Amino acid sequence: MNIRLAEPKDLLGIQACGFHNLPETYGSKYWLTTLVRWPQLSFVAEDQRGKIVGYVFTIIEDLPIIYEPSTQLGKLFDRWHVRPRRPTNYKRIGYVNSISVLRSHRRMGIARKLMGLSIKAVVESYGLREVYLTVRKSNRAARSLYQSLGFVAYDEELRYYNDGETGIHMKVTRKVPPERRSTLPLPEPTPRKSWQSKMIPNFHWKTRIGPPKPGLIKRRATTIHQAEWMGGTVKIGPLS
Amino acid sequence: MSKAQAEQPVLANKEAKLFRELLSHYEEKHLTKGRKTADQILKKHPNHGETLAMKGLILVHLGQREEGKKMVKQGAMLNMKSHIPWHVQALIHKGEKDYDGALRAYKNGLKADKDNINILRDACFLLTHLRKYDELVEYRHRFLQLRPVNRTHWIGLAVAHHLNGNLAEAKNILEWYDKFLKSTPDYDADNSERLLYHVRVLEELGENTEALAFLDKYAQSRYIVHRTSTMEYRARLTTKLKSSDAPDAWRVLIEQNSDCWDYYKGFLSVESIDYDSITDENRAAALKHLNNFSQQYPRATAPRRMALSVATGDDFTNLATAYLSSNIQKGVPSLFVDVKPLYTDPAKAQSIQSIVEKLLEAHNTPPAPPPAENGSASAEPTARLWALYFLAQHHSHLGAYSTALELLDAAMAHTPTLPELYMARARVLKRVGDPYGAARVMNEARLLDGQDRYLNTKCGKYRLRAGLVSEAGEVFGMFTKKDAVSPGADLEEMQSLLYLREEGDAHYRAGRLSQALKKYYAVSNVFDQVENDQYDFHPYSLRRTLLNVYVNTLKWEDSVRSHPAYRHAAVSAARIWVSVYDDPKLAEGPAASDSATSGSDSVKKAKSKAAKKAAQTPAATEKNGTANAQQQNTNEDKGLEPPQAKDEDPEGARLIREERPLERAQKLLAPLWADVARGVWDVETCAVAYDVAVRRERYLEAARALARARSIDAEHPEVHVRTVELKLKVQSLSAPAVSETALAALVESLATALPDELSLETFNSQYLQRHAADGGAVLGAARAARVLQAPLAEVEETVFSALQDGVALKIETALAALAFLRSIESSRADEFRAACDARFELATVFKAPEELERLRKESLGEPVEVKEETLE
Repeated sequence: MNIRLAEPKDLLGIQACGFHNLPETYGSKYWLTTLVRWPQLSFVAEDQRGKIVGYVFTIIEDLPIIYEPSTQLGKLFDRWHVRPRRPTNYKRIGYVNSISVLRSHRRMGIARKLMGLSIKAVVESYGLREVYLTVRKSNRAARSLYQSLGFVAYDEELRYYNDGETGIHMKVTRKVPPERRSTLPLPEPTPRKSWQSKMIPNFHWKTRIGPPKPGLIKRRATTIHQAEWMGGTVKIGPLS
Repeated sequence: MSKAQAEQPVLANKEAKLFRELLSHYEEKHLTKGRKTADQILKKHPNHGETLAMKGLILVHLGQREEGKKMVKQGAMLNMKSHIPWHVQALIHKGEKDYDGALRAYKNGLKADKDNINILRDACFLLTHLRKYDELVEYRHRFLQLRPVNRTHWIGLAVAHHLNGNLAEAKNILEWYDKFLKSTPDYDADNSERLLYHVRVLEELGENTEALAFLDKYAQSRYIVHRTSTMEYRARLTTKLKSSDAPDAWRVLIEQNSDCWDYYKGFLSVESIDYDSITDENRAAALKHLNNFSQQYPRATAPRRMALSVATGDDFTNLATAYLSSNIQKGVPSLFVDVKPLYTDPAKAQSIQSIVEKLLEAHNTPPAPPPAENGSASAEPTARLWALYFLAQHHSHLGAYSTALELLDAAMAHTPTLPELYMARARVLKRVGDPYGAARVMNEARLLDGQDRYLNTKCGKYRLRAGLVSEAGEVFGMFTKKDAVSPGADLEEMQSLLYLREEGDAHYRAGRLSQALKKYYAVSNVFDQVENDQYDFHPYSLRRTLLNVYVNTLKWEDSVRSHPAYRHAAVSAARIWVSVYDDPKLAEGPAASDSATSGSDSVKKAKSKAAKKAAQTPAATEKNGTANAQQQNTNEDKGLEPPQAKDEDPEGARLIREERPLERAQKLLAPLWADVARGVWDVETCAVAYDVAVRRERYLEAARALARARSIDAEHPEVHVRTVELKLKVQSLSAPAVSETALAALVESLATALPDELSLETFNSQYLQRHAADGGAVLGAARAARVLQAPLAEVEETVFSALQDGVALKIETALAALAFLRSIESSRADEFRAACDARFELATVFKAPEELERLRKESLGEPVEVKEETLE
């Protein structure tokens, strides 16, 4: 088994591997986008004929923090049973978008090795401490694997998956030396005024982290915002 | 034209202001406002070209595509001196994925306004996309001159030089860029990628020392953060420089990821050992290194497995024993696939067999284990199971199918609930020519774990192999989206090459050519999509300076069509086109009447229901549509991409009747020509390329394809048949039809393979004599005899000679022979079938048609009893 960094040439193999193995997955453009945007974070396992038998795709996300139960404000929200509609802040994290090992190549610890490499890459290349993922509630094997890697379940989301299954959000925290932590700017948090007036009842509301649900997005979908793609709008007229 | 130009109205202040508003409305996508503004201007100046073009563009966005395009064209005709109509046209072409058209429009636009930044920028992306690198360099240069302060433009020019093959210039520009770049934040991953790209350019230039110095400088100063890549560069560069750091560099990598073969190979190469061609001198040294690593990283499989490839004799036996027994204890299902490459050495295969047999024996007698092994005693039952599983695959690989089946029976008696055993059994049945049994067993495997998509996909695939198309759809449908038109449609949308290919083949085998063709074209469409995927990355990657992966993407996209799925689809589709050309009646085909033969009644019903539903929905939407149309049109931005047209020809009945089948075949095969340089052609591809070329009367092309096939395998039956065919053709050609020079070249190309003094009949019988023990060649000779118009009886006799003892006959060849006999309307076809049935005992493909029908029904199988047993 050969485990290495993923490259563009692996894409069709990766797609086939995920497609024939996972209940829901993405089209080719989505994989390419992920790989081109974060070339450090994705790894593949191939057999000796070069067939892709497993992969992990990780992305970097700016996770909107809407509600931190530990803070004073959070406690207040809890007491009132409300949450703000807009994020108060952002946190940059790694998010394991998709991981899959073909059934025929299980029990060799490939998934564990792939995960380990990817988490390490998040820490080393981006200086981030936290890696998140979402797993199907019924997938015991995967959950115990993640737990053994240090992931902790912190929330669950009803009907996260297209077939109605509950998704469990897990995260792991790794040590990053302070001088190594990323200094890149995060998105501006929404000014306080605009969300203060827009509280919504707690029980209707759930955070969605991670990219859009698989299966909902097709070839055209990207994790990258449309404006970021084209560098702004299409300009035709006389130059500014 | 000049007249039209003269008439172009000059906008008064008020209208000029309105026009500026129009542009900004479009940019902000206020489409309805934009349209209103345009109408205002047009009221006063109905012939204002720029406004017309802009209005056209807005109309396209609003979904009135045809009208909009007409308006844009009109605008361009009215005002050719303005860049705006051209720009608009290019945008529309680009939306329709007509990149050549877009580039042409942009070039016209540049004639009108040669310094237009927006047009230049887009033209650069198109040039990259179309791989016109010389022009790209030129355009990038101009672009940079216009806007030298923008960082991206420098990067763009450097990459353009790199792509165009001018590495030195690329390096110069990157150095310039480095000089004027002021501060970048520490640990910026994007900037880090740019620096790594710089290292790559230096490495490709061969300036390894500079590359290493550059790498070390930036890696230490917090700039390069991509650690894996950095270390890989470092290891590679130090190895090239023969530096003393090299072994350590590889060691660090191995420590990071001890399962990467390349790292071990790299380490060995420093010790001047080439892992891929180990000699007897360095075998011991290589083995020693690998064993050291195995001890150092007990969890890593790579060094252990690599050692197996290197070791011979007793070393091999010892290492293999440890490797196999630990993996069998663990129950690794892929163990056999993992060691299969070792079987090229028969001694190793033998040794592996005896090791696993010994393991099996050890586990056969479980009582009284020696005290030391008490710990592993609990693992023994499963170890026995996996040993049986391994041996079954082993025997299946070596062709001992009955032994394999017996072993699997034993394993299933031991544990009836392991899907892997059923999968292995299905694979054996598939190999012995029993696709129906294989499909049945695979279905049993699927039922053991209904949640697993891997088993589901396999089951669908095996059903397709057995020709059960709609039943396969049912299985696939368990995991496809519920709101899709059909499981097939969803699989196609999700670009499942496996499904498209297998279903195309299933249709092809059943003679439903039109449907097969449809699926093969769907494969080709997937590759179109993949090629189009890259467009968005031209602007994106440059801006973010993610260059290494970008350049790799471009290279990969260049050769994406050499993927086996594309080659298979293109070759099969070309074959269909050729047969349709030879016999246009095939296009009418059994498609309509035969399409549901494999379906049971319930499936048919479901199908007709779905068809009805499909027929209803458009009518319904149309009704609502007319009411809503106006409102929708005014509000929604439908984008520049045309909406996906509804497929009105799902069975390909219209497609197969298209004119000029050979040109279509040629178009599919064209991308494969690029593979010639890479030498990845196979005989089949060359043969079909020949077939197409010879029918298009491109004799030189045909001769070239044949020569290439001959260089791969001169004695291949396909080559033989075509050599005979071409010779006959050349004899019948005369000067006016073909030019003298071409004819001479043709004769010359044939001369080496087929001396002139030899008659074709003798040539054929010599070939038959040479390969009398090879079934494929015998069939080839029979086909050649048919081409030479030998009497039917003689041709039949030749085919039957393949059945003699001592002739190696594969099931596929026998099937092809049967199909050949049927195609020449031989009366002995049924006799041949019966003879094959007797010869291939385990196979079912040679059964009589009624029997086949029964087998098909059986293969759908009811849920097996096994399941209940396990529940108890």
